[in-house]
Amino acid sequence: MTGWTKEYSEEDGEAAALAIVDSRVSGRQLGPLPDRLRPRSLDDAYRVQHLAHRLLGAGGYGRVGGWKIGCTTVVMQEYLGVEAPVAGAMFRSSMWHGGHRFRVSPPRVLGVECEIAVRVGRTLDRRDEPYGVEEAAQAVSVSMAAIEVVEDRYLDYLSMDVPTQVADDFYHFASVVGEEHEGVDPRSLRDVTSTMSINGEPVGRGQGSDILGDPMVALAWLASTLAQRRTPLLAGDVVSLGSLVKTQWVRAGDVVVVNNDVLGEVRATFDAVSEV
Amino acid sequence: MASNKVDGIRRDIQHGPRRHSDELSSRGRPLYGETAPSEATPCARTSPLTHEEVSRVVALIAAGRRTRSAVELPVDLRTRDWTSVEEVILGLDEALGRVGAGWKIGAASAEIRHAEGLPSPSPGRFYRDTMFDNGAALGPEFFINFRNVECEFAFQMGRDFAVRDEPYDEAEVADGVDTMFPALEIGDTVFRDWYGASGYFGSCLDNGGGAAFVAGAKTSDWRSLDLASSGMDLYLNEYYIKSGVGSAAMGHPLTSLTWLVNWAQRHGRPVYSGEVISTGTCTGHCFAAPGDVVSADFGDLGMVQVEFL
Repeated sequence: MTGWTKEYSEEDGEAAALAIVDSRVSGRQLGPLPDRLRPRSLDDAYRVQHLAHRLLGAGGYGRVGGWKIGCTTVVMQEYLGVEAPVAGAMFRSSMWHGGHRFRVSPPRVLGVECEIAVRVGRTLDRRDEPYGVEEAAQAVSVSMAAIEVVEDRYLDYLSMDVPTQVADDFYHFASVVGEEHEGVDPRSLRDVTSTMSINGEPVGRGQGSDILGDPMVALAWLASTLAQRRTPLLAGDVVSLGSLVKTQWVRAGDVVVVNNDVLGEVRATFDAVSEV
Repeated sequence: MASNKVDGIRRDIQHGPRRHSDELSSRGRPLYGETAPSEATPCARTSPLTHEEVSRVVALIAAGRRTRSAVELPVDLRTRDWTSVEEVILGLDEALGRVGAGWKIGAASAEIRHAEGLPSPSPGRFYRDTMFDNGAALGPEFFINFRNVECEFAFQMGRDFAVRDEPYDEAEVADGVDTMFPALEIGDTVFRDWYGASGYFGSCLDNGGGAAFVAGAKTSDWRSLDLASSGMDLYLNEYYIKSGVGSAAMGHPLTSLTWLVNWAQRHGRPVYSGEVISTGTCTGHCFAAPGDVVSADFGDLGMVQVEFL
């Protein structure tokens, strides 16, 4: 199909997607893919990502329910050495509302990110011109405080290339969103402040404007990118717009709370895997 | 991705969270009426309907559509004569007086025709006021009994196809296409029992079971695509329902399109520039309820979604 090349064919992409999916569902850590299978560009990466979504979707994960945007803040760009935003899918089956208890299963490591999320109220389908900031903001139906739970699924994340990480939905594991606010003007999200604490200890704070100057800039970027990639934002999709605080890796027993001055609170707790 | 390869990969995926619903099957929700698929008792009559009888059937269906009420087809008006079915379909279009926008094709799949004992694909008319953009939310006012969502490849025509003596061939039809796009074709009928109203013919009689249509993103560069192998994954809410492939539409959506253009002109109906023709379900039937969001991933061709309010 469109976009595959001789250097990186659809068969290569399928094999890469299969390796990613196998790691995701089995819990086995992923190492760098063999040279032949490694996506060479972000274009390749998003194609592999989509193949993986279709395999996961039909294989028990169900429908993609939204997207996360990575590397929208200076703090995360510096942490990961990536300069432009990246997108990864969130499955509806791992999206939780209000709060959730997660199980920590070593050797894979879970982390948390302090985020702002929105739900879009209309489909932003493929078209010639990109989506602008104002148009993206008008498509928002509700805003929420959010915790993105990320997962280090790699044998050594420092040896993983960016395209493979993107193909693997850029560390996404789950999302916990707080109360849905209809009356908040999406353009005002740049002024909100979020604090994250773990076990009562504050571990960081950030402002909406940390996300590319305005979270709606990130949303417009995502809408345009996805529309061009033919996996458009569909009405009802949730978007987690970016991490305001550097990723905090968690341990069993941790209680994580995000408190947003406008959007309220959301929490996630992490338990040890119970022995039977 | 070739669908048989994907199926192989899917069989291997045994782990991970399971999104399984006891309520749903490969036909979505069990909301198709009292008769199970392929278990309808064919009606006895095989003789054609008289003109008067065709008018009565048309009037019954038209009244049901206009008032959004369920209709029971009297036993004496049930026949398995296919020309009668076609007369009813065309008579109904005239009786409804709505502004047309194209055609849909039911039972484009030979497998469905064989299962339901149908001698022919089953056309229906699209109407302008039930053609919707991607992501549309459709209220209950658009439906009477069913919301049967089907994944299809559709074409928007770029020229007229006049009624003429010789049939059109695929090359000429292809040249007359403006754009191609993935779509969700939503079926409904006035007959309360989808599979049982005189066999499958009940839904055929009622405009081929057509009710609404949601269009995905259009492309003019469709000739380079292998539409026969082009697949889609169908979801009802967060649940994966099934996948389909373009070859279900008479082997290739272009074959199905050409069939319809010729069927129309054989029955005195031109196809007009700008009209949309949807070439038949690649995913069989999927019944949904108010509150459901049905979406399909057509891979490189994009995603299409409809919400039922």
